[in-house]
Amino acid sequence: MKHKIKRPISITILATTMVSTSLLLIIDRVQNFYIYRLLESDVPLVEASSTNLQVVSGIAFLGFGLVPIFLAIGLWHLKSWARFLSIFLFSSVMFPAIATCFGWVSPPSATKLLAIPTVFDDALSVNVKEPVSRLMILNPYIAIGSAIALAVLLTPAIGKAFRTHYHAKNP
Amino acid sequence: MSQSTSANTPDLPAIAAIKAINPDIGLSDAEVSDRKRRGDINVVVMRSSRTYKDIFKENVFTLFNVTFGVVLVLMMALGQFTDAIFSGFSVFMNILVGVAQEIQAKLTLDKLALLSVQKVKVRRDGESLEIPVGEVVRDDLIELNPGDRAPVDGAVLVSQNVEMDESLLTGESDPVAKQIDDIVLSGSFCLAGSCVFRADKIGNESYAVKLSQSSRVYKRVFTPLQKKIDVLVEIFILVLIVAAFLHIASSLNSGRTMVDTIRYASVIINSFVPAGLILSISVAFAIGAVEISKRRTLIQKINAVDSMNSVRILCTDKTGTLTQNKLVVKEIVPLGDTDEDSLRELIALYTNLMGSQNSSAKAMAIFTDKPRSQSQLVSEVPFSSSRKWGAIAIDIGTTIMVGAPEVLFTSPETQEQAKQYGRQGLRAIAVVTSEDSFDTSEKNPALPNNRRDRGLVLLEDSLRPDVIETIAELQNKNIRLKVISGDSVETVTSIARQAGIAVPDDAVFTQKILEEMDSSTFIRAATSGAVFGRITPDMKRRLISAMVKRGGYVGMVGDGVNDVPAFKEAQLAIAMNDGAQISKDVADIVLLDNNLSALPQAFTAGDEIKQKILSSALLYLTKNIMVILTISFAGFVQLPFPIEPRHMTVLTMAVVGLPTIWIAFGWLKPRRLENFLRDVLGYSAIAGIFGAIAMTTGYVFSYYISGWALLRIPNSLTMLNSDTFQSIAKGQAQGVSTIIGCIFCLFVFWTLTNISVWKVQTFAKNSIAAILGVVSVALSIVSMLVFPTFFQMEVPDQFGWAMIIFLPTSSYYLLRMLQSSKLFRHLPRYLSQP
Repeated sequence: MKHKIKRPISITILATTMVSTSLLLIIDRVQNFYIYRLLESDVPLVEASSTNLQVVSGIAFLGFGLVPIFLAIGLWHLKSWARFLSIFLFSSVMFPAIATCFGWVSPPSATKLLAIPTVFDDALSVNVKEPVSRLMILNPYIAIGSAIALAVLLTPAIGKAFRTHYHAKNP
Repeated sequence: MSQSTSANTPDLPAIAAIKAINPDIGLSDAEVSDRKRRGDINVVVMRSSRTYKDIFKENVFTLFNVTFGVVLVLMMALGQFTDAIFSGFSVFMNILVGVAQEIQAKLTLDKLALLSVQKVKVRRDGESLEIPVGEVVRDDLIELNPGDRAPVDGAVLVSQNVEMDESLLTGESDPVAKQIDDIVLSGSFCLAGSCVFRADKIGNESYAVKLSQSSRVYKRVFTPLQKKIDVLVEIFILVLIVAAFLHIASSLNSGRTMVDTIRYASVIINSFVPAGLILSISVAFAIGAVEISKRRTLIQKINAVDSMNSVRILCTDKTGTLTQNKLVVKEIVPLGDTDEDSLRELIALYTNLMGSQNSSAKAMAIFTDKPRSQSQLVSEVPFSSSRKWGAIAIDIGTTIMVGAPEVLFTSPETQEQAKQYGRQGLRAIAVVTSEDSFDTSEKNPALPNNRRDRGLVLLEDSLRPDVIETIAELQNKNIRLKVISGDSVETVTSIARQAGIAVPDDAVFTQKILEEMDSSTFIRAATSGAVFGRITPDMKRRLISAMVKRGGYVGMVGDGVNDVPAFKEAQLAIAMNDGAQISKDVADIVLLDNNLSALPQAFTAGDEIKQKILSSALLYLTKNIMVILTISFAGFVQLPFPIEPRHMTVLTMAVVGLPTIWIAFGWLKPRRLENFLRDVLGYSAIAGIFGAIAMTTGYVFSYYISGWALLRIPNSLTMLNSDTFQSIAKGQAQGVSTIIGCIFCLFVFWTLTNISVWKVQTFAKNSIAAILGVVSVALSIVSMLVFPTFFQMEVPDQFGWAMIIFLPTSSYYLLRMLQSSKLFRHLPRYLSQP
């Protein structure tokens, strides 16, 4: 007999959001990758090692983008491990984002190595003379979003739903 | 074997003096002081523990230290002083702590060893004196009684059928009878009879000095745990040799500079050889020996501490260990037409005319007082445990024999009567006479015929007051007790049952039954038996050896000469301080208070020490496996070397060095680890793999995501060349992966101290471990972040911190998940399948 899963609505929303955000990130990466390839096709300044680096960096980003999708699948099926790992994931996104907002941690910037170019680059129209990351502008939203996700995952009632599901499957 | 005694006598006047010595009187005070002035004194260098030189040598000149030293010298030669100092620091601290601890242990143990120093009976001015072995002078007359060890070499002057055991010198287990002018060799011991001999070769001239020093304390015998760790270290070293070649090859291939090659070699050596582990084991043993000696137990071999923990079968003698060894004659029972008075007279004659009295004879002598008749001794067969009887022939043509009833009594009824008394826990000794005599010229004289059963002497030996609790405690520790005694099986069974040892009727064996068994039945009997009675010393040895062969870890408690062969077979030999000198010399542990009750406490202390060693091993191995794998993983993707020597030092200090010290000093109580292979090696391997995955992922992502940004600075086509890129990206990547490694190892350390990361209440319960762990890891991370240039890293940015939080926690969570999974529970079974 197939067990009917009673999934809390907040988990459904969270999982869906995680999947869509991840897909967005992945599409962004793939698109970025494609654009650069087009741009650089007639510019022969890319040395062999740099090309490799670009490809591998793209793959690394794609790999990172896959993690929330896996966790969302776990959450959808009310797996305990997915809840724990999602808590770690959102904490690891939220705390550095908050720290960056307050200026305790350096934001990823061109001078400090990291200025992640995203599809929002043009939409947010940052002044290129000041090499401040677009992430700086997104950071408060990232922090708030993660905090909401953490609040959902840490709610005792939600925790109970995961446990009940576990016990129902392993009497 | 016999040696010329004059070869070592210093000069002619001395020879004249020897001739003048009266065997009854010995040296005078003046002669003794004269010899002392001349330096003719038995100066024995006490080697109760290792010398300072040994300690220094063993801690400094190890294979690891020498190899690492060469690398450090090369680093300094290439001008990398900071790296050399940093990498050398932990090794130097290890050596310092190790040497200091072992010296402290040596001082404590030396003090204790003085308590068990050998005393010798010498005859001076016609009196018997007991003096320390170091005060014997040349030509002193030394008296030997059963159980005494000859301290020096010399010729026998007076012999009362003395039989010496020279098995320690020659390996020949048969006793050697010594007549007048035969040479007694130091290191041999008196088995039966007694003698007086002259100290001819003393101090370093004596045969025993070399022998006793090598056979005595601190033999490097490896315990099971040491053996396992040694094999592991050897494997690591083998892999290291391969890794060293690969490292050199890859350095040549990638055009790495000489400086970097040497610097990274130091990281590789440091991560392959758990040098601190070997050191922390010897420190734990040293601290343990001191700890156990506080319980009035002298550890004579340093690794007996670990042996104690492995003991699963403990064999004991009855007399002296279970009982007080204060024999008292309860009553004498005349047999046949003998009346009580004549029996008493026979016993009095025997005990007063015999050469040397053992404890039973002494009790009988006290009971009977002096004999009334003036009969004189004609000849004697001294009592020995293997013969089980002794006899004297007196000038009225009678032979009096005293010994085991089943050997001496001729009629089955009297034998049965003796057994009845035995069942009540009494020691029954038969008194038999004969008109025939024995042949003294034979090495093993036969019993005279026409024996007449005259009576029984019933001796009582009460249980030691604390023996019942002690036995219960030992049994609670899953130690099986077996009693092996020379006494009758009935007496031993009764005493064993009184002491609380479960003795089923089919677990009782006698010498005779055992002798008739074929070897496989014998081994089964040795394993299943609980009481063995009327056992000769050689059978005792065979029994222990059979138990060892069946895989039991066997301890043996004893106090007499007859226990010595068995001591040599047992994996842990425990002697009583008041026991025969030779038994103390051979034993691993001496109970200074002659009290078995010290044993459970000592076992507990031994167990704690083993736990400390296992915990240190777990931390060391986890860190090492983690770092080795990270280096290899980074090599797969052809990235720069992931760890600088300075990072390695910080990581080692924070998550291994300091925690090991806290555990060694007993500030933290680690979780119980039972099995080295499963609980330590198995766990470290898995945890190391997960830690390495976290570290490598952090390193690779950090590196490439930095790379992404660098490759395309916004809205421009500026490209950095790969060398500039590498040096910038590497700094942050190394910082991120080192911090991830620290946090992951902190989780492992917390698990070891019963803290579960997601159960907040466990932090409160084990607050010391929680605080110490956080402080040590936080301090190292903060110091790296505050001085990034010195530590050759970049402070992580937002993305770096995200990985620092996510990777160690999630990989640790996955590790725990895997540990509780079905796969892991069944892994041992899967591994044993083809």
